Amino acid sequence: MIEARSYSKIVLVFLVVLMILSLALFAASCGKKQESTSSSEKHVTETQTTTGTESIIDNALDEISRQINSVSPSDFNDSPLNSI
Amino acid sequence: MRKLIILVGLLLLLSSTSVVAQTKPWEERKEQWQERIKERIELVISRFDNNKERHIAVYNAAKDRLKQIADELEARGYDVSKVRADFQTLDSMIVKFAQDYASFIDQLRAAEQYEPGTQGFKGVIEAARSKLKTVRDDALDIRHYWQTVVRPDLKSLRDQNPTPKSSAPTSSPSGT
Repeated sequence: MIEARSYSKIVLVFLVVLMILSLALFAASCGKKQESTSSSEKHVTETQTTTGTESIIDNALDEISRQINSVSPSDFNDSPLNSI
Repeated sequence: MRKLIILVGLLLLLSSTSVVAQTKPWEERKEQWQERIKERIELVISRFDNNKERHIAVYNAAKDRLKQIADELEARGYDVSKVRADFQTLDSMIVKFAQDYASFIDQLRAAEQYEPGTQGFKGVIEAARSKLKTVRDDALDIRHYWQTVVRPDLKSLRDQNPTPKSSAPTSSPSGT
């Protein structure tokens, strides 16, 4: 009778320990997942920022080139002076 | 003999009056000619003025865009000191262009004070021609400076890995 009681106690303790361990494992895995998600999000944001800046630079380069090329130094040729 | 003398006298009188009569239209024609040359000079000036206004507007727009991109990239942590120095140089080049152009126009207007066809008139026109060449060179220099200095400096910013400023506001590109 005493042996049966001690057996059930041991099983109970074993179960409790198992439960605590599985809970700890679950919590650890959740934390890791969250960390990896946030780091990948950070990476995506950084990449987007870099790509965004590159496109800003490219747009400015195109725009200013178009502006500068829209006028020509030949607008100041001296041929109109020949008509004087 | 007396008849002959009277005839010669009459002929001389007639020829002298015709010379006097012809002198007046010549003066008038000369004035008209001068007036026409003045009109031509004004026409040439207005044509060049239009071109100058277009150039100045384009250069200022390019300069403003350059400043805008420099401000934007600086806020993102980029080192834009080179672009800022280029901006200053470009600005002084535009100022020089405008000054040389004003000098050319002054020279051209000075030609109106001279009698057309004279050496003085020709000299002033030649001086104006030389000043116009300087203006053309200025415009060429601005274009060349953009292509060989500013553009590569702006392009090289793409290779930078900036450290974002914590206090810097995240400015959004304004659509121009």
